[in-house]
Amino acid sequence: MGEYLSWWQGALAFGALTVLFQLLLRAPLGVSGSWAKLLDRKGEKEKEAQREAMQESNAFLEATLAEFGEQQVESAELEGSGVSTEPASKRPPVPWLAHVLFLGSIFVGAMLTTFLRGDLAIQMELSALHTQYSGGSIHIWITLLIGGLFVGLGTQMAGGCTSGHGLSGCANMAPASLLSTALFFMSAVIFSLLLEGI
Amino acid sequence: MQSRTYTYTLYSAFGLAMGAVLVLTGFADYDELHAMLQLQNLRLLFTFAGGLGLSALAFVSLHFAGYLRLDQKILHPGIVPGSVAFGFGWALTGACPSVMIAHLGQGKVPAVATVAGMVMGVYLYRYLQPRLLRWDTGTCGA
Repeated sequence: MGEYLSWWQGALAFGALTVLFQLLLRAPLGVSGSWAKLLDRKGEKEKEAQREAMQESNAFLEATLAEFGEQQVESAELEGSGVSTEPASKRPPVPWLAHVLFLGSIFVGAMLTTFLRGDLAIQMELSALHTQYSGGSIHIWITLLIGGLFVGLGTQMAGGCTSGHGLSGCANMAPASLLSTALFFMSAVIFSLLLEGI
Repeated sequence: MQSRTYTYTLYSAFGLAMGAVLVLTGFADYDELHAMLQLQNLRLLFTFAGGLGLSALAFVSLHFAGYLRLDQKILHPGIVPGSVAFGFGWALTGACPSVMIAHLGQGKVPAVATVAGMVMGVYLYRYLQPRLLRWDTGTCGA
């Protein structure tokens, strides 16, 4: 298995990831968000099309304002036309493929790192301990399916996960994220202790 | 305006880094995570808390220096049940949405079940939300 990074080395790594992601991509790091977008290709394509249409409208509006002046434009009827006089969102739009690449690269990064540590092997369990807790090598599949369901349902319902709420959200000092992080940690600990007792 | 090449390259690079860090810290190791959740070995907790603290320090500093606008998710009713449910799933699987992908990368075949469950959970939420859970998560149009 090898040694793991000390807590402060790991802390630096997660901190660097969170901060650099935000600074270089002008978007918060959030894996459950990427999952949601991965699984909503149609919705993402629609949003991209809407954004492009909005950018076109904004460009026309800017040109109109430049040509005729603001007063003239304000008196014209814009309601219901779909033209926005608000500036377009400052956050750059993220293409659907970026989320696919992000999630796929986590797979590759984990695989490469595990390979370099000499641990890469096809395994039919997470660990002997997990198999024992699950009740056997068949049961682990059921445990993981049910557990995965709760992870999926829970993270979507909460609007974030360990990276989305835990790292990015808390870094932004969002009360929602601070609450969510505290709750999911406490929940995981309590359920883990309860399951241990069974 | 970011070019697509820039976006794709950086998202890929961060994914690789994330996968590496999850393995190197031990978050992708069920036994290590279990030890944390059992409160026997708090190394991972300090790792996470440290990462959170450093990020917060950086974000708040950048905010006051005028380089970053804080982007805060809204408080909505789904946060409490969602977080509790997620914690339960995390305890059962040893995985959060990123770690389950790392498990697959490590060759742990049963993680396919975790991922299948995750996908089902996402679709289940999408089914339930407009029917039963009518609250604004602040992500409309995001």
